Amino acid sequence: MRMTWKLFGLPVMAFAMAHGAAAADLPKASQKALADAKLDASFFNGLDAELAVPKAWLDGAAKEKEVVILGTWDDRQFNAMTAPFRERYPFINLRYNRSSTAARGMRVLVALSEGRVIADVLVSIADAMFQFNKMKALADLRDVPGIKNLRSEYYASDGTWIGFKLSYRCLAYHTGKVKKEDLPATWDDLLKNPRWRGGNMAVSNHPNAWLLALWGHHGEKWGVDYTRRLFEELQPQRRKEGMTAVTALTVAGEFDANIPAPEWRVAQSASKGAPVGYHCPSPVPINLSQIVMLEKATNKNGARVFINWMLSREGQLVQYTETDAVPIHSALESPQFIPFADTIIGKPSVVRDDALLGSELNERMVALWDSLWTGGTGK
Amino acid sequence: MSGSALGYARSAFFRENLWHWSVFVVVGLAVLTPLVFLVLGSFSVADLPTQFNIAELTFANYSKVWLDRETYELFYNTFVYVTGATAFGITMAVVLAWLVERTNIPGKIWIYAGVPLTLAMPGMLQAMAYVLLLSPRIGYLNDALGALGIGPIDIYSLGGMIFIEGLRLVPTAFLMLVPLLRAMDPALEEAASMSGAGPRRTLSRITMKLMLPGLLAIMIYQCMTALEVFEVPGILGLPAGIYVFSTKIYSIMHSASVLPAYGQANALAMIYVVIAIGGTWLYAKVISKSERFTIITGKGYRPRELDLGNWRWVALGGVFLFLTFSIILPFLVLAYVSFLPFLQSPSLAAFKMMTVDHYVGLWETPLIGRVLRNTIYMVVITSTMTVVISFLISLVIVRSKFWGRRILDQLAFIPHAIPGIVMGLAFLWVFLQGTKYGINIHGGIWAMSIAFAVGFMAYGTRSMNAAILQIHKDLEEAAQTSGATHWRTMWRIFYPLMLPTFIGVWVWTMLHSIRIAGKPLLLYEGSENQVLAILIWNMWDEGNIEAVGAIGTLLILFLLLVTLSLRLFGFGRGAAVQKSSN
Repeated sequence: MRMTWKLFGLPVMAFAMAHGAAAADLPKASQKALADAKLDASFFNGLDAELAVPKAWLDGAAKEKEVVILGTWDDRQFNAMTAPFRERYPFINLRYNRSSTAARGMRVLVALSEGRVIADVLVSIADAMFQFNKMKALADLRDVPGIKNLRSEYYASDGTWIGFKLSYRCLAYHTGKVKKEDLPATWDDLLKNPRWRGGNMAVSNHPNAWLLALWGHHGEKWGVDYTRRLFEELQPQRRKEGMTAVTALTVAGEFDANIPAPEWRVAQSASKGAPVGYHCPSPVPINLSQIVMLEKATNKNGARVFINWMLSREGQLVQYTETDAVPIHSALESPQFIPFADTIIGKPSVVRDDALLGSELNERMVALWDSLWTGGTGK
Repeated sequence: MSGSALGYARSAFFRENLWHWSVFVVVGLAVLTPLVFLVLGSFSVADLPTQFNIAELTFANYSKVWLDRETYELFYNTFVYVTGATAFGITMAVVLAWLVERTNIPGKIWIYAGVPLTLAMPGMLQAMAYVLLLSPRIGYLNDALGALGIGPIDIYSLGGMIFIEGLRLVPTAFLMLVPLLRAMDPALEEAASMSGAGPRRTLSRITMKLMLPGLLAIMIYQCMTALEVFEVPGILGLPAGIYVFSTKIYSIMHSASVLPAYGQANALAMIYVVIAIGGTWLYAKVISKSERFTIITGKGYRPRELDLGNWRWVALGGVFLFLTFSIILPFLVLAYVSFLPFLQSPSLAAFKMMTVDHYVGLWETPLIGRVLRNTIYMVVITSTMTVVISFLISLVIVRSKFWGRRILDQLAFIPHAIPGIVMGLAFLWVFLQGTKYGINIHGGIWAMSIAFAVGFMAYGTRSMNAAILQIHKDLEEAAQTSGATHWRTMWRIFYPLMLPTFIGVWVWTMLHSIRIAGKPLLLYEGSENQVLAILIWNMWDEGNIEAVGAIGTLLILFLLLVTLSLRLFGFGRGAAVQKSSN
């Protein structure tokens, strides 16, 4: 099926290449990204081919005029990250709305159930993937040329989602309070060390981000036992805030460490001099942050052009330099682009793939987590 | 009676009752429709509200929630938290209102402007500010106290929750008490003074008793507020494993699965309906004997101030202490973090690395213009709608013999006892069902404003009821006897006397609708109806605490300006009315 798309698309793409900007005329933001990453212009050799899309898409995008995107980026980050796209495609207005995980899933699903479409492109909807699939709400993106820049395991077999960055969900810790020898070598070691008990560790309400991959790797029996012990023995502080907010509190010293912590946020804080480090017990949970397009999207052509650009080496590099996101493009698979590579590379890893996301194991894991999360009344 | 007189009487009867019926029906629909969905939703196990099917109702949610032993353990925490916060908040409010309205304490305009300012600060921000101040690990105040060998004070406790929520209850109670005291005829207090009673005795035997219905109404209202709020117990209770009803509902609706368990949340929320009905019945009993508490009569009056002597400076110090804990300290913390590259304790190193980056970032945010515009529209519509609707309802309740006035009073009060996040959900169901019939307001500002106004009716009617109660019918009857029409009586008698209450309700509603995130979060769909509270919530949720500090700082400064301006207008108008009546 994928080969069919490639053969079909080649003549159209060749014709459409004249409509894309040549790599030699790099947007200013792309030139800055090269400089920030200490790469020269030869890095973008082949970019023209990557950016080539069917002419019908570009013509359609020009008529549509905009793409509505719901995501997790900070507004300034999004603007900086998409600057090259806006230079290349000035006729496509990117209307971006930052929203929480629940809002991206729930609001869109509720609107869809009423026959209304409030976005074209969504990112990072792993927690709601099951519901979106149930409603058959996601478009097949296997015709997006940029998909060939990725490994096959980095997009859904039915094309309903494509990974656009890798995320690690390990542990952020306050370097002024935690000694390196206390850092757990494995996830089991985390529960054995008493120094993490009694509120020294914080967890946010995102088990899908890290625990699901571990359940999938070790099996349900291990998962149930581990999850119970996490709450009953470790007794972490349960924080309702998002991962990045809880990480910010770790930086402030409110906890000694928190799980799960996004590596990009820790890297940004550390670069400003904050006393925070990042550590990955083995195995390392890896998430693929997904980008999807709604089947009933209003601006399908613009959305496809945008997604294709996000998967290109230009889109991936600028995303890395502006947001510290780990690229997923095969040309950028290098320790240079992985924050805290020393704690990640060389260790076994477990990937949260779409099979796991849509599985009944996920439902059971979430049900157990919910019962433990909301249980307890304190005094 | 002659035929024409009978005809006129019949016509007046139907005109008056038509008006009463209109208010009754509109309020009934506005309150009962979402409640019906709330109840139906409690029997539904559908994933989404739009998938609700009346043929698939079940008791499963009730079984899960009300047969769970842990649900009953919530009662203790909730009882202690609610009664403690209410007692603390009401006591502070009574003292503050009495000082401002009845004594010669200096700086009244600043006190009146400053006390309601706390309303402008989102509960979550204030709770977060106190985490930074009184966290046993990193609290800035605890660091200072530790240097003196004191503490640490643990804000993550029932005591911490009571303290913060109590502070947050003060402004509302204060705004409700001030009009009562201002309009009170001092003749009874002067008579007590002339009979030898000291200030304390007069306060307890005369003033407090005259204020009793209003005070009880405020206490019931504040109990409901503490019961339904989740931000403070969420930030301060959850990390310590302390749950109350509101945080339990919030946790159910924010499970790890992205879809909330709506049905279970609705089933648990039924407790609020029961408490609301009980609380409203109690309030109705208290105000049923309104004549005994008439204070404003047809005779002329001038509010009287008690001379505190040198104690006025001590009193001022106490007021300043209250303002410090409720506004100044949290504001300073927010301002401090707004200039930091990352969160850290105050130190020379921290001050050296301060930056205006977060303020610059706000103005570079593409959405900020639209968010501010949406917020202004929403606030103006909500506040005006609340004042008008509440006044009309209160006129029917207090001034008419309409058979349904007591039911109307209960209807107006009920939404207040339902958590904002649950009422938001109920309205979501209503608006989504409405789209099937061509009523497309979901996703717009009007949807939010309607949901807010219905929720704020409880405060509006409590304030209006209490204020109208204190205007004796003598004044209206005198005006009508002199030939004034109904509308002229309203404009020349009611309006000037009610103006402080109108302004108070408008300001209170404005401040609340800016800071509350619960309902907007449920009804928000995108940039078309994104308001400031949602922007702040999203920024906080994403860990941009420093940017939240920047927005919080600017918001508080703006609202201080607004509150001061309104206060000056209110004082000016009141003085003009006073002058023209002399």
